[in-house]
Amino acid sequence: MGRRPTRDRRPLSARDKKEERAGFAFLSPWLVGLFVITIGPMAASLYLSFTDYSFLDSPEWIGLENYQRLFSDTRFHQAIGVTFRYVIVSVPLQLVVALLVAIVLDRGIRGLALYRSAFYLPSLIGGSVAIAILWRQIFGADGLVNWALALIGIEGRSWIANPDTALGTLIVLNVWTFGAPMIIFLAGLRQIPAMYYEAAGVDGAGVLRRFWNVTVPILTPIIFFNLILQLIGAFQAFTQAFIISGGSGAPSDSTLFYTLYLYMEGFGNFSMGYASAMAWVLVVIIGAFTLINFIASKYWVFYDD
Amino acid sequence: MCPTRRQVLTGAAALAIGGGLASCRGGGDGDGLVIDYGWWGSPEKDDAVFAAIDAFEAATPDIQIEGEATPWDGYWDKLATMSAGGSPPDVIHMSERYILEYGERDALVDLRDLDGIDVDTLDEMILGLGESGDGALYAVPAGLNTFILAANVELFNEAGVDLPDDSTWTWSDFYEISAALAESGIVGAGYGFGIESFRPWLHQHDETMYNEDGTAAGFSHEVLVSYLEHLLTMREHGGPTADQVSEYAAVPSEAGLFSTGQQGMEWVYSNTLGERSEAAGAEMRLLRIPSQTGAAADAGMYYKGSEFYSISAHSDPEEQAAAAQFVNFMVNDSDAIQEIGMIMGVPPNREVVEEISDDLDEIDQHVQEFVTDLEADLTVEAPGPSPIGSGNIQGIFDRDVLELLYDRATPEETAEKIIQGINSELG
Repeated sequence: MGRRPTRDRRPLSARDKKEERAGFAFLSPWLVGLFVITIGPMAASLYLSFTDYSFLDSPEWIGLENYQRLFSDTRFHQAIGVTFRYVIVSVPLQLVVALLVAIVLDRGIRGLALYRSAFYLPSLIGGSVAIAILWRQIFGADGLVNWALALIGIEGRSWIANPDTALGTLIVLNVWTFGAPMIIFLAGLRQIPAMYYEAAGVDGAGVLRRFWNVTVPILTPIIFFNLILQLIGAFQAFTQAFIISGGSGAPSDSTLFYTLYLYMEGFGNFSMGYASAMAWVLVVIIGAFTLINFIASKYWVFYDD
Repeated sequence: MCPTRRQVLTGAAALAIGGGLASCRGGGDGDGLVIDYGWWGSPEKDDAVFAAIDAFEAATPDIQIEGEATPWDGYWDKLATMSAGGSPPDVIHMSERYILEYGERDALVDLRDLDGIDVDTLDEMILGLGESGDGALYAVPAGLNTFILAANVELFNEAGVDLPDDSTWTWSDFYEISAALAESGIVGAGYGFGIESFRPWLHQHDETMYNEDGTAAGFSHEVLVSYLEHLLTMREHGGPTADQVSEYAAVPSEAGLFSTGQQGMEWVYSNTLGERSEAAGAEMRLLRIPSQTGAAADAGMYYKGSEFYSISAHSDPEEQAAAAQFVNFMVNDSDAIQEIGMIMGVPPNREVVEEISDDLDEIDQHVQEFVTDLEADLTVEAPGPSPIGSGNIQGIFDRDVLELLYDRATPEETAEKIIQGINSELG
């Protein structure tokens, strides 16, 4: 914090104090953000999760009732099921696609910057209203997918409207927005020294062998980093489902993501206390998943140093 | 990484989306009092309301109205968010579904406590649509409405099907006509499933939607099953497929099958006929609901208020007084009604409606006459505002009936789920 590293606790000189003040001044935008829009609301929501709060009148303490209600709320169970399916399918799929595209781009094709931008583009617009409309055009009854299927003689159905397949279209949408992990993979691939490949080549390793025994092990820290990031993001997925389902988790709650249900309960159903309890349960779920991954990472992530 | 921050962000994002779609105008160009007025709208309605606001500002130069229109879906999220932040608009456009949710939580003022609104000029029956059980007037109806059938006259002609005599027709006539329409390659009739079309069915079977104190469903499992079977019969007689229902559920009604001329009959709020007719570019007519007996008086139809004016309890007294003046203008002044027409229903001040009725266009005249004449066939008292917790009940119908239409659940199972859902929302 602008202070020289000293072991003894000598009193701060006037200059040190001035520097310290300056340090805090520079930090203040971040500190204000931390306390006003992160820690403050978090503390408030923790309190509200133990209350009956409609946001129109004052909160009333009800203890653990909100948390108990989660056990018997079938829509909440549905939301958990939908979210887990989404996370478990879309996160690995997205990482695989991101890695494969990154490897192709890493082979030094011409116009790399252009391709990199082009592949990154979906990540920028993936949550927009325009994409929601585009998705209807692609996966609707008269959409692009069915048009393509008709060419090979298969009669499709409305993928986006059917409760069995609607979640699948959202998973495809998420996989399609693989730009962010791809960029990180690309940076990681760039750092693998060419001599490793040369050495493996001399030892007679083919392309696949080199991928499995050189690229993947060296990339494991990057894979781990991406996995954690995407996992946390996927648990909190909201925008696509909100826009594509018209904010209702339709059809038949098949796209009722956790955060979407939380939002509906809080802002649509006047149950802000219940929604806060859900938010905290989500914190615990995400925390647990992250912890498990950190523990498991000891067995498959290799650090160079 | 913490959901609260996420919540704030998504809230902000939702606002940004809503804000992007909302049209907002007015205020700021004078030094008078500025009153905010928020409503849900469609492009046609927004134009009409802004024109009425202009008329008010011309008549009352010391008050400016800052109007903000939002589509129905985003409107309630936005109102909730603004209310949570303690800054709802001064004048709030209300639906009967939310009058008690907001009113009983002291977010709305009892309009009789304000001096500015002359309610004695309004029809008493219509006024009752906005009254709570203990007589507080949280909302003044902007218009009288009914949820009823509409026919696309041109599609009837193209299919060579005669318009029915709607004062004598029965459900089996209805099925036949829908099937005949479907033979010409269009969808026959929509299902309109939900509270509003279920109610007449209940009335036809001497049952009611809610129990007396609004804490549970007021109907039996058997009658709900019969209603669900009736929907399946409709499906076999030219109703839309489950895919169609599901796909069009997320688009605004102006973009639905009926309003784009691909469906012969649809359940509509009577006030929306004008904009649907315009969207489809076709002549449309309202039709009475079929009965079991062939007598319109047995059809169980009822009047309903769907749009209301409310005034926020958050506003200070000066703002409330000005807001009351504005609401009074909107319901009692012929200049306002001239602009608004039938777009929020038949206005509650019958004298003013009389005064302007010659200037209405053809479709508005039809709506006004139809809704007014309907009174002779009504045997069910117009229900007051929906009980607290009922805001989600349409959503229950939406998801459980869709499962039924996809044949993923039987009428029995669906009925059980719907009743359970309703009781847990209300209880």
